[in-house]
Amino acid sequence: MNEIIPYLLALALTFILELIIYFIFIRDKWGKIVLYCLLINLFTWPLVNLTHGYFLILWIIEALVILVELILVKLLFRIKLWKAILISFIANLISWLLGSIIYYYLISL
Amino acid sequence: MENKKIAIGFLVLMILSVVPLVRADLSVPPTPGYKDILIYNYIENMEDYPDYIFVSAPIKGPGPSFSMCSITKIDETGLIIMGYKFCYLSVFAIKKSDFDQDKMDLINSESDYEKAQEIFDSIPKKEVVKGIVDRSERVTITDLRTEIKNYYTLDLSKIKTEPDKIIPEKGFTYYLLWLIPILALIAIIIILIKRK
Repeated sequence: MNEIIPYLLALALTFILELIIYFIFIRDKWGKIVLYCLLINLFTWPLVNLTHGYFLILWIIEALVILVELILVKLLFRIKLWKAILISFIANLISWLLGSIIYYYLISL
Repeated sequence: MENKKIAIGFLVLMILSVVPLVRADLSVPPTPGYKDILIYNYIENMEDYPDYIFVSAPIKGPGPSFSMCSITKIDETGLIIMGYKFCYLSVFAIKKSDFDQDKMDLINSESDYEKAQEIFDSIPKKEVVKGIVDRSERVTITDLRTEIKNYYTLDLSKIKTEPDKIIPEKGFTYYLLWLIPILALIAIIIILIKRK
């Protein structure tokens, strides 16, 4: 059961970092933003971890994640396409760069 | 008083110098962010050779040989029992007519390791798998494998150095990572349908 803890930690980190970006760019009910952000992350994040290191290289996976997330952001929040692209790109960039730094710091404690 | 202080200081130094030696006998704990997963080695087709007994034994050269590694008869599960850490093992096929359990016990109990090697060398046998050493692999903490199973398919005319099949076992997390996105996708679809 302990093997799941690093995953939960990484998922929580990704979710929090992306949620901050969602709150910056989207004006909607906060509960809705939290729920949709959570669902989007619960959909893409495990798939990234399943495929990463197996049959796809990292940047292709990240590009696919941005693509999938921008579609979901557009459909769920009903916002303009350019805004969905921007949110998806920034959210993933931040969670990828900052998330990995924070994650490896936390895991080394 | 001064001498007493020097003696105590010397004693502390001695204890501290012994600590790393004691630690040297322990497995090195994984560094943060890493974990060790166990490797199990199996022989897959022992039943193809009913006239033979298979044993794992340390090979000459690398590893601690008979001082720390023993001869072990491989049972019907085919699992090759690894010895103490750093044991370099080979698998040998011994004809049932040449197999003598008492001789095996004698080798394992012999304190003169050169003599143990001599006794072992005197047994007619064929080496069928050479140089199995790994008992575990150090991987990143997010690696989804929980253990690795190596399978050797024997051919008595050859010496295998690599397993024929490597099967990584995956734990609960692996299946959970498939389940979560499916459930999330269902929830997203329901939200989108309900909104229309």
